[in-house]
Amino acid sequence: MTHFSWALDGSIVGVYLLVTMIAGMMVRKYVGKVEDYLVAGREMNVYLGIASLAATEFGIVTCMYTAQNGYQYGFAGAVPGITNFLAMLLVGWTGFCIKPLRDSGVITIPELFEKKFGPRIRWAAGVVIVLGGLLNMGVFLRVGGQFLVLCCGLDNIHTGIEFVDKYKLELMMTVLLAGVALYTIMGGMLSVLVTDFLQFIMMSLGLIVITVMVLVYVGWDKLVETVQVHYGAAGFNPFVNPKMGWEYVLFNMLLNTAVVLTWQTCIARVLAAKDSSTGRKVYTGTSFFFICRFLIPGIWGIAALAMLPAGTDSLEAMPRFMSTFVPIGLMGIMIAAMLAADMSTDSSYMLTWASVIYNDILAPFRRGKQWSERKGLFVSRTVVAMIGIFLLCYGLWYPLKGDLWTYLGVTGTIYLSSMSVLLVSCCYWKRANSWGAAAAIVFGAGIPIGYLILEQLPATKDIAARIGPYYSGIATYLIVALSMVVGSLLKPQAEQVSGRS
Amino acid sequence: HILDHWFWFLLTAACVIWYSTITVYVAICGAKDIKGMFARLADRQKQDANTLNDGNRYK
Repeated sequence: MTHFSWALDGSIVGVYLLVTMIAGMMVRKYVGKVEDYLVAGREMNVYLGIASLAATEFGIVTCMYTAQNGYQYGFAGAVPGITNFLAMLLVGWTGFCIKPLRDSGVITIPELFEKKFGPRIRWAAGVVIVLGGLLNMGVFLRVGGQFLVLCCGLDNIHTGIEFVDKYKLELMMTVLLAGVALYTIMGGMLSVLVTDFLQFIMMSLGLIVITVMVLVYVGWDKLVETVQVHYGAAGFNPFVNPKMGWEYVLFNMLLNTAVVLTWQTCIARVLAAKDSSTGRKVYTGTSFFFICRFLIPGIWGIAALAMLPAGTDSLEAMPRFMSTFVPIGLMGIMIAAMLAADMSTDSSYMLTWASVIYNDILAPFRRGKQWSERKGLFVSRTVVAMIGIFLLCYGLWYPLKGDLWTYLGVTGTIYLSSMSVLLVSCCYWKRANSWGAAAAIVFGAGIPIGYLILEQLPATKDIAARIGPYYSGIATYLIVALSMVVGSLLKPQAEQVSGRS
Repeated sequence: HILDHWFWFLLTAACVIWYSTITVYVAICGAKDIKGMFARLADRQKQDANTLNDGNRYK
């Protein structure tokens, strides 16, 4: 039986939603230009940037898969958080790639590629980024809805209206997405930043309070004992875990470095910053949050392992545990915190992929005649609305088959490997050119998709299992880097001098 | 090995302390950032409007 009280907890959630919606809508009068809409007029300062980046990169889907990691691997499941922290700290501290990127004054990464590789590569990079990003985001709504239904006990409530009872999850998330889409469409990045700030406060309050409760009432000794009993030393040390090993740590280091450099929702904060120095401070200031992002829900997952009977579904274990562990009153704060986490992620992701569609994929349509600010804003808003509709159709009314983390990893890798290699080459290798860039994009998308096909076909299933996702991932990054070098060196120098490289 | 339960205990304690501190800090300084951001945007909009009016007067 869930502890969610519709009178007390429902009121807390309702007040939070109302305040967020009002704040999100109030700032729309400041949107005068496309630059205001997509990068907040580049007026974002450090602390607002930290709040926005942290809120964007922590959604319910994040909480679910990091808790699942804790449930399945113990403390060792939080290792990706440590590699993410190291990557973000180093990139922020050195300014590697993000300094030249912000100094160039572009709105999106593919726009920078045009200066080095030409308009075709810009367009192709835009397509790959949007495909990877939208498919990745496609599962956010459904997973978020699952969490809320389990925590609020909605699956046990019957209204008597057949359609409502059958599609409770879908209807709830449709209403939530409509609210998020409304303020994102009207206020763009300005609305996103203001609501992210409110959502960061709400989300952090919930995460800290619940974690302290888990540590006090379940107890640290019980958590350690549970991991020791279920996983032994492998639950603490990824290097001795037979399912992880050094290849898991190395793959996560490569993956998280690529995320920090090219995941457009992270980079959007650097590009919206006042200058490159502010962008770097946002990265260094937020870096430690990425350990919290994995370890805090991971501890919730371990607590679920300690308190629930064996055989509970690993993805549903944490919300099932929370629904009976958190008392009335605090449950409202936790649900509001999770809604805050999800809304900030959804709004940022919708705006970010819309900015790539507007700025890069639609770029050929703007070449002949420059669009007015008014037309640019109208097109940008229309694209955000269309992404909202896509999310509803793909993410909510189309059930996902298979494992969540694999899905997120594969859809992300399709673009992360090639875009990170392109960005590093674009910033630091004079000889890099369009041939190398094209080869990197093809191999970057081809290898993960090829591995996925190998996994699905009965004849090649064993080969895929022998290679494993981590070796396959490491190979992808190495082959993409090699293809950039070989492709660039194969292009005749004379052709580079006469035209664009 | 360094990656034993003491490592995770210290990391968890660091997370709770750091996260609580940064939340309070960001709540205070972030509010100032928002105020400053909208003040600058309003100034810029005013300047743009003045430039437009000057252009119309000249025409």
